[in-house]
Amino acid sequence: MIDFKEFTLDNGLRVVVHEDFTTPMTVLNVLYDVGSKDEAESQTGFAHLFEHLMFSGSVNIPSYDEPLQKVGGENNAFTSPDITNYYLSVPAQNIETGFWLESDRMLGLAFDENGLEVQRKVVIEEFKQNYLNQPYGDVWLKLRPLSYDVHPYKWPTIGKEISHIADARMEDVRSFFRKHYSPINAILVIAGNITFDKARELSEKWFGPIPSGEKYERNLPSEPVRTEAKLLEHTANVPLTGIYKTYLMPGRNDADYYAADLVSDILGRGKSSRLYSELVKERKLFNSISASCTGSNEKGLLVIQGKLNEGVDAQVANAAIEEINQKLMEELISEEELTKVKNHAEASIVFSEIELLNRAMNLAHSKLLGDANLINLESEKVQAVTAQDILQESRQMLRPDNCATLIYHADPKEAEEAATAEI
Amino acid sequence: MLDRTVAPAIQKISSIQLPVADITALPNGARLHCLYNYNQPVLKLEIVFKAGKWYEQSPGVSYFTSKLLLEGTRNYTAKQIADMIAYYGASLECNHGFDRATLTLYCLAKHLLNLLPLLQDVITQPTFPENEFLLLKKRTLQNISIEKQKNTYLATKLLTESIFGGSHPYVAGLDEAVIENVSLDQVQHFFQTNFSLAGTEIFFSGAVEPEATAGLVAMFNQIALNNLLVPVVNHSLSYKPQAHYLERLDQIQTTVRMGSIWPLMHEADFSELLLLNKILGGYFGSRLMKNIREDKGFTYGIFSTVSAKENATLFYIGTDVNYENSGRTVEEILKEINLLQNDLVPDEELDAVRNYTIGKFINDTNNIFDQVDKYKSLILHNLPVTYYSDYLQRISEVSAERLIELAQQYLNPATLTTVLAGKEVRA
Repeated sequence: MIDFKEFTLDNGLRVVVHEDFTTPMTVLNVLYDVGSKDEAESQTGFAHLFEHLMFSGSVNIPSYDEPLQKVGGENNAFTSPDITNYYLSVPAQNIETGFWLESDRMLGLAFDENGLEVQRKVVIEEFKQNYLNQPYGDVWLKLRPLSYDVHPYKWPTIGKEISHIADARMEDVRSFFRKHYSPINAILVIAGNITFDKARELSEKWFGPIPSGEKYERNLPSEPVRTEAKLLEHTANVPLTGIYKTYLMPGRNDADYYAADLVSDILGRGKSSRLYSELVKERKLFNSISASCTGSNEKGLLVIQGKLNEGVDAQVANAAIEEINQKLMEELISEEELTKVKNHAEASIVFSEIELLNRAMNLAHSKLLGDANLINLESEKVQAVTAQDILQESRQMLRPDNCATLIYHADPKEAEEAATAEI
Repeated sequence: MLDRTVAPAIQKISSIQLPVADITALPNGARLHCLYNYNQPVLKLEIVFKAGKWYEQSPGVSYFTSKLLLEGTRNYTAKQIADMIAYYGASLECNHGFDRATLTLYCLAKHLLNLLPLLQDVITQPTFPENEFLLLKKRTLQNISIEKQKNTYLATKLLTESIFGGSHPYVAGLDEAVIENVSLDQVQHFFQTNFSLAGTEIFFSGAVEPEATAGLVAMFNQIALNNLLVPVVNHSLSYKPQAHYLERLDQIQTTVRMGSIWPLMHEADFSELLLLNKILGGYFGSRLMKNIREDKGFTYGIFSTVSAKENATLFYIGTDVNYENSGRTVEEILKEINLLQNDLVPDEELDAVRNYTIGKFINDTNNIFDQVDKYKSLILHNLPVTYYSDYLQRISEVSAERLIELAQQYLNPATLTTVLAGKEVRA
């Protein structure tokens, strides 16, 4: 149970406070309600590039990092398809420095040309390091457009292609800031060693004077029900063939979300899961296999991914996955197996509450979904799922015509050539 | 009117207090260290054996022994072990480190007693089934073939081979040939000699209730077998700096690694060197990050790090850069080192990095599991309980002049080994 209190400033900034006096730290988490799904298709990767620019100086403070380091604090940020999230941790007595820094960059940025120039390069190197210069690194660059026809989840947060990042201009940066970075579009969580009264006082002092901004009204195309299986085959210089299967699943606020989440655990969470124990251990078709959920706010993906043992035919391996799915669509699972995945889910929730920063992030995300208290209801919702719900959700979700499959073929010839080139 | 150009006043960061463990000596020679915290109903149990790579008679054995502990015991099959752990929402893993092997159990406090019979079987009666051994071998070989496509893997392996010598246990990564050659007999023998409770350190932390401790002690007391002293092992090290270029024609980025041997944790200069490392490349505001990422945009990230093992400390700098910039990156790294060797670190920077380091330490010891990690280092490296407070004291006292001395002694380019992996730039 995570205790919190909340209020909204006159400018529309939603604030959640979680007191915890067992820690010497205080954290600030600022969530902006903008992710890569809000980008134009001709300018993907922008929300993430923008996140980098939030560290290149704000209207009154030339450097974000240095003043925070000076008071013993550290910070970071991430961008996802749904949100952009900034967070800092600092010894409690210096928390006001955090308010000063976070509020100034909500008020305005320096919009420094050199900052943009450098961060474009940095993000392009990030693109190369994580997506191009790794075996299997480009899987999600292919899998997202395969999995979605219309919803902007169809491009990855890093961007569709490097040119979109290279082409970003300062006027785009300014208008993105105006549209998305204002109190009315943000959620502030203050957590740790600070009283509610002090948190409120500092919020009013530093964030209160910022103009409200305009509420961004999202109007995204919703992904239609998938009625036909899709298949993409790709060959690359990798040693093992990979299979990636995605199924459209309910969004975070959907009543069926937790049943779908447990379906993914039954299939592919850990060594006790069906896919792992049958396909890695018993039939020895896969080197590794797992299933997981993207946990997206709108229609997300259940993803099954595995790498095949050498010499195994991809069609055979794919059929083996389908067989296991089929069984889950036909037979009620045992109480014991249901209890197992529920216990696992319960433990994950408890363990996720150990770290103060995680609690702050989860409160912010719950608030975005409509109610900060969702964080405390999760366990109950998991426990409420029945074997019948699992059966129904499996039938709904694991239908072969709700599946997009990417077969990422190993090319032994290419691999050999590369090996020769090394010498 | 609020003046946003003025920073709020800085408050001094208070000193740290880490919890103290209760230590119980068990009859079979192990020690149990308990650290209590009841904020969350969770437990972590770590059994640390003298069974890491350092103790291997032949390479790869520690890896297989650790992994196979959970692949079948006298009373449980591999599948039953996995199912039972999952049923209680727990996690159980055995990882072989460079020095020790650690069996780690995480669980909700309410489930611990249900898991002890399994745990006892795992540490006393593993059966090392041949089919599991062969499957693990095959999967490991395949995983190595994937790792070998990664520049970072190849470069780190080559760096550590160059620094420690090819067959030294502190070399990172595994070789296919080594994996091929491991036999099940070697694994069983290693288990007999090195997974002994004599000299084993056990760390039990979180919401530890008396019944849980009693149950655990009772379990260990039943284990009469396997408590011979682990044989002492030594590996010699004669370091000579080298330079290597690993040509990888299909790579669009080049991995850079530069490193050398630094003093051990208990040796005099270690604490101050941690601060020097921070300034060079140990945090986001470091000189390497500012120069090579934030000024030049050559990379997504560059770091320097200090990896303190029980018998040697490895210091190294690492980054992945656009291959065309690899030469300039090395030049800039050397330039930053040169500055540290010749110019005093300005007061403001020194002050910032000190505070950052202290704040970071407080943040990194924020929850019970972080605290037990720090405590574990004290025990495994045989350090006094005042070690961390002394460290923070040293950090706040070290002078800019002293940092120059340290940079001259420990960052001398003539003592650094350099490895580049990627496409070579030809003029």
